Amino acid sequence: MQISERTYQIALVEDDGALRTLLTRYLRQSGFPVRGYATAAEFRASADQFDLVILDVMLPATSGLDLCRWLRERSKVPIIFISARSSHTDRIVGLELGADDYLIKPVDPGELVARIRSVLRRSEEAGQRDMADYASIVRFEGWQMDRRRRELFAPEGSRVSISEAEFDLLNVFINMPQRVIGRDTLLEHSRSRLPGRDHSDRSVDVLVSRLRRKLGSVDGGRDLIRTVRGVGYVFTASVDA
Amino acid sequence: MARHSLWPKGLTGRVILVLVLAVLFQFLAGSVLIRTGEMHIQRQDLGRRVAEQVLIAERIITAADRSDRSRLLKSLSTIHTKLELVEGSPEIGPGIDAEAREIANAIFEFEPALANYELRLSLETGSFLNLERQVIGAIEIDEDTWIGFTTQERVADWRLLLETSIRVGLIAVLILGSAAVLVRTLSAPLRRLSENAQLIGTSGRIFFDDTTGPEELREVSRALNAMQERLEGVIDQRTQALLAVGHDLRTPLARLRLRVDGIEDRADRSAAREDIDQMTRMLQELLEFFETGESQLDREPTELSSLCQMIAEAFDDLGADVRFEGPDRLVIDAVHDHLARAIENLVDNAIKYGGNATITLATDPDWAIVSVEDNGPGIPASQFARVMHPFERSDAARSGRHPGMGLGLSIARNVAEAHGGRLELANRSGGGLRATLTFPKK
Repeated sequence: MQISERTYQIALVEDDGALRTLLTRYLRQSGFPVRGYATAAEFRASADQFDLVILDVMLPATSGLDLCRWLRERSKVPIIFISARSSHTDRIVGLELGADDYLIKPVDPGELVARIRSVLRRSEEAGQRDMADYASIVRFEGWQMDRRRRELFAPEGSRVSISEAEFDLLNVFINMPQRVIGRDTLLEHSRSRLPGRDHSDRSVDVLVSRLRRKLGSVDGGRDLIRTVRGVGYVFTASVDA
Repeated sequence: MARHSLWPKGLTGRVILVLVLAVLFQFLAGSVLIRTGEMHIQRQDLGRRVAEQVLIAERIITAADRSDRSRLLKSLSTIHTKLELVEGSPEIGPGIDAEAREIANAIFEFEPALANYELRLSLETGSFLNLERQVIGAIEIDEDTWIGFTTQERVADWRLLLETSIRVGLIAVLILGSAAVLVRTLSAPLRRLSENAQLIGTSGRIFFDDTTGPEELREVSRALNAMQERLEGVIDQRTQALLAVGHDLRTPLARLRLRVDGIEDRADRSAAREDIDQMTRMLQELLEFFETGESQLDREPTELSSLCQMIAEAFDDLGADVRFEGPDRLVIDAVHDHLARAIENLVDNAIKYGGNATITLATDPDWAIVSVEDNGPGIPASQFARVMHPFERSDAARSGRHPGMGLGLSIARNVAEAHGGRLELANRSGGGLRATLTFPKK
């Protein structure tokens, strides 16, 4: 994970005192300065000092969802929800409000750190371009990808299932359309999502072939990703944000 | 105790039987009454006519010359009544037949003057088949001088009787037929009610129409609607309580997850993590079970082939032997994540008990069919229904290393049924289990 060298200030809004302490301690050990808040009101006073906010959904008085909405009105700071509610609807609501990720308790601490890094990296990349450029919905050749919900739709509107790793890979292609992308770059962006596989060029090839097969269920979809022998791949479609 | 009774089981049958008996009784009683009535009128009438004629004959005869009497009397005969002069003793025996009593009474009632004379009267039966009867009588107007009379008219005609019976019978049959139709019509709402009542508890709310039909049935409908509402309330409350417990347990579990990092011993630490993972899975299973039981979720067009591929590949990445066979593309309306969970649960079971899994996607004009096959030992067919029940596990599952809540198949079934489909289990002929999910294409 290449995140720039500076330290990131993280806020954790969690009403359960013991969990707040434990998480804060763990994240500090992982190299993130963290400040914990028990309520939305406490947090609001110093809301603009952070690079990333971790929110519990169920907070006393003002809920995490309300706090997220409030935060989104004033800043683009990355937000990760940690919630005891696991339903599909809860997750979608969280992401629609502008959160960058939605995790379910009990969160594996290692997983949390990985997600924090991934969200920070995404937000940095987006920051390097113009922020307005990073649209949550992008289109190519009639396909539509919802980057917030992490969902892909075929030209006639049906939801096509792709794995997290395939999604990340496709996202790399979409960010760099019609350019040859080396296997190294692709590997770097997809590594965290490759469970149980050796991190080699070969695994990138496997991912690309899987992605191709799914895109290929629609005529012409297979040609969207073309192999450049010895170098890598090129995404042939033009992308509309 | 098997009693073969003629008493029908159904309400319609019973009502119709009662009607048949009632109409039959009415028919018989009616026939008898009509017959008696007709006979009475006929005999009264006959008596009056005879009386009139005989009285006139008597007047003329007594006034006439003795030698003229026989001729006169003959000429007084009509086509209805034959009159003749009998001197000495008439052929007919003395007295009045019991059967002819009514006619005699009518004669005396109508012409009391005749009461002064001796009357002999009898009903003569004709041939055996012919039920026609003639009235034969004689009246003594003078010493040894009788006026004999014979009516040519039928007293009681069996044809008349038959005709009446047929008419009454026809009406009875007509009434019975329309009554049967009416009874069926009346019992239709009752049958509909019972059909609907059988559906209570199988799927969502069953609506009972309490605005049409007979008042009693409307009341039953209202009661059933109210009952369902109360039941739903109770179930809802329980579900909410369980869900709340499920959600609330996640925070302490999250604390525990972080705390076990402090355990010094490596083996203990990893065992503790596994315990937490298991508890997490069980909670997740429980919450998913309730969530997938809801049928009011938003569906979207979902491509099944990529879904099955993604699941097969995810298991494959973890080192399991899972293959996918099927068309490149098949779209149905579905709740994507629930569908994924249903198929994952089946694949998970297949790997757990069969060691491997093949996901097959197929289609026919109306259904999309996802089946998951393994090469394991299968399940005795007698246990199929049981293992799909929530919180039920086969013996193999109970003794497993990581027993879950036993909700995997129930969740898969919930998902299938919430989509208007089914989950079916079967043992493959070559060994192994086949779990089949069917979803309607439209």
